[in-house]
Amino acid sequence: MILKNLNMMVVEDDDLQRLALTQNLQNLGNFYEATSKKEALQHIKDHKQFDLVFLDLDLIDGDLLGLELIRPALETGAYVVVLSGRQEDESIMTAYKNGCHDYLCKPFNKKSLELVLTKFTMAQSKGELRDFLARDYITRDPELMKSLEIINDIKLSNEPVLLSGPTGTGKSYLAKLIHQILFKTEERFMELNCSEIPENLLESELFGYEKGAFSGAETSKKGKLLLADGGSLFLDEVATMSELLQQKLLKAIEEKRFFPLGSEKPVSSNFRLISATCEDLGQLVREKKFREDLYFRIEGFKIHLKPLSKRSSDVELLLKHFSKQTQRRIVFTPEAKESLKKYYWPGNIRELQKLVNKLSIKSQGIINENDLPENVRLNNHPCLGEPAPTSESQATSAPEGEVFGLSENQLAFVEKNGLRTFLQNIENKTVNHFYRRNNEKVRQTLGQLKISNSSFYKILNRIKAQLT
Amino acid sequence: MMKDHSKLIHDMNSGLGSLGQAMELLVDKEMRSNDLVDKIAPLSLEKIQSLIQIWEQLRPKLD
Repeated sequence: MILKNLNMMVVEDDDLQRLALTQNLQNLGNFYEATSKKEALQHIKDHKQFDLVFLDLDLIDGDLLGLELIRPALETGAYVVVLSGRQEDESIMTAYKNGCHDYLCKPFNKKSLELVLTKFTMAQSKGELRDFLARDYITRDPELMKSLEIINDIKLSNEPVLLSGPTGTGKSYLAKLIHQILFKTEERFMELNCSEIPENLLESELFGYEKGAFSGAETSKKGKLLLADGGSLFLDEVATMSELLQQKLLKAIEEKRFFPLGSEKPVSSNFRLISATCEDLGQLVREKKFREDLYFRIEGFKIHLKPLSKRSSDVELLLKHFSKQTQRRIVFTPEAKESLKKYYWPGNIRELQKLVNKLSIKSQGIINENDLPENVRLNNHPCLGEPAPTSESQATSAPEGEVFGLSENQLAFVEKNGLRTFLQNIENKTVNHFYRRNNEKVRQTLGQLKISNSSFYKILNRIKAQLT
Repeated sequence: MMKDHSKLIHDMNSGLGSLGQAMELLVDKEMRSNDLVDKIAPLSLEKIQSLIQIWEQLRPKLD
């Protein structure tokens, strides 16, 4: 919300202080000045409505008369800010008890005045978070809505944001929304998925490089850190970053300065950091797999997004929301909705969205329970045909015998579909089995499977693609 | 009329704060203008004179 055309009143008997305040506010609208209670009350009678009122406590016609102006100022609908050099708790408490919205100690600096104006903007846009929840991030889960209220605080601070939650819960989407709320634009939002890029290229993507910095660097290139200047840098799957890169990133975050690869000149970048992870970063720190100092640097405001299975009341809302976005409108019978609510959604919201898109193309307008994929009806995993995990079946059992020996059926499968497809299926099943068993902890899974980061994510992306 | 000691201290602090605030405005490149200097200069002189008077009242109490 941009501040302009405000109707303001400044009640301050010190000419220099009044001048300082009006100079700082001059671009925001009209203001009326008063040095006494009498003058201020006259302005209130003449104009009846103010957006912002600044009140000094001690005025030309008496000490603490500013306190008596708080209520009349509130009646004009104004956001009332008391200004005073008084440090006594009693006067501050009385001012708040009389209803003032904010108390600014004199002499104030530009930063504290900006904070007051930001809080005024927040008060004016109380409905913004409500609209955001209704329109942009669909949920009516009370616990999730409560945790999203932190977005009001995020607006007031420059602290980083850490989003956590299983894959497909909308961390990337939420990061974009937070950026739009903060900066009122989609521009200058730089996104980097640390797990999708090979480690040796990740550094150059992040920091940029000069021409000739390494073989293949035929031109210089700006990194995401620099491109995010004045905006947001979103680091997805931040836990997969190597230790060396974690160290470099920490320095860049702390100093807001860094050296592109092959450059001797530092560059500065002032960005808002938003990070995301599926993993328990605190646990990784305890296991010495993630730097503690970097963790404390990036944690700031934390938002945890629950898996869809833990907020089944949102399934129907999301079905409606995604159905409206498809070319063909579809509706679900009550039995179909019940099946969908009971399904455990391993792919979370992403899986639900893909399902709605698929159903809108393939099915008739009314979706019955029989139109749903078998795994949804049976509440099984889409790739494995295994039932939804329960606390007892959090598997510690070994894979089935077929994985190690080849049965007649498997040989027939190879003959029909080819060895490559067969091996890919084995990879999918094995990776998914260990990944779920480890509660989606990537590092633990990699350690057990003894495969590289990039191989793991290649297989995981293949599994996700099969959900379509 | 002689003000009491604490009121004088309060006025002194307040006056110094005002002067500091005014100087900050002049140092702020975005705010600085000839018009602003024309407004601040006489007000600052007045404030300094007022602070001198307050100091004259305070000094005997501190000696």
